[in-house]
Amino acid sequence: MKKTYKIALMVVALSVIAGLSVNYYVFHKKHKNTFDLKAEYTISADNLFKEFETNEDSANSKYLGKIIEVEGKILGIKEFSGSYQISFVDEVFGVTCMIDSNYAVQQKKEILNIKAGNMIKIKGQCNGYLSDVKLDRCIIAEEK
Amino acid sequence: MKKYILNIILIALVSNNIFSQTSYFTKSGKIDFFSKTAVENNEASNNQVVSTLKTETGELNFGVLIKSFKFKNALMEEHFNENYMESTKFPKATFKGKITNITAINFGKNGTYTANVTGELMIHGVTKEISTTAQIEVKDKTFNAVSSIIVKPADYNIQIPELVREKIAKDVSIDININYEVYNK
Repeated sequence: MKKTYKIALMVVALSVIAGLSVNYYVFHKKHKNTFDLKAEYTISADNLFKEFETNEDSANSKYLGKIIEVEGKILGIKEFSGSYQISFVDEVFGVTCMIDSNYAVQQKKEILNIKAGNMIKIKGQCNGYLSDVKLDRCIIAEEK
Repeated sequence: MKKYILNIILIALVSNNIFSQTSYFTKSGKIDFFSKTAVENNEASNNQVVSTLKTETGELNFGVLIKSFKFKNALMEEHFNENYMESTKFPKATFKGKITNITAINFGKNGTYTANVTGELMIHGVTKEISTTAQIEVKDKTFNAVSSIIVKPADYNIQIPELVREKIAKDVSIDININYEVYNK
């Protein structure tokens, strides 16, 4: 009798732990860290924009949601409440990369160093194409 | 001859002026949405909204990438993209419309104006006619526009599984906040 009681107690304890972990996973699942992710493609900002401009569907199937590295000459940098928007090629018809604030605080030094005209390599997630090709969750991968 | 050249310069100046003052643009507009139920609240934020406004005609356009909506929780973002919005199949949402009372808004004079907006909202590949109002605050040749709309996922053929139906609101409120800049092109 004692044994069954023990087993039952253990089953209850285990299911509580399992339930809590599932709950934790569902409500606290962390976003992947761009620093740890490998880029699937490395491409110049000019060519990336051209690919989307020429054939949006095929560019989407290649890049959408993927981690990519974009290289190019910085056209402009804008700050929005701790996040940095880096533009390439053209303000409207170009490539726009967002270094979100959580990454910006980790790259304070690098961000201070960059300015318009500099060559840079940025790694981030490609979200698609409106008038510009948009990336976010970006980090500065290399300053040249 | 001198007069001729002067005329050309004048025309160039005037037309340049007209163009630079009638088109406004942003590529970093903000759209947030909230889904509130008794069981669960969900919210997400998008800071990569593209919008253009022609102040002469009132023509107003928005472009939004679904993958630019950011959730605090990674799993919710995954479900939003993969199960509900199918963002690989439908990467963007758009609005093409008009401010119908554009003449009532003086973009040259600082102040707050109410704009009546109607147009076609496309989400998840489904297009619906909508109308709403927006508050426009003109300040020193740039302006801020704020609006709020309610969207029913069911109207846009967004399927919510039975299991989570209680957790996702039937009316999702969408807040739009755009700072426009003069578009010189």
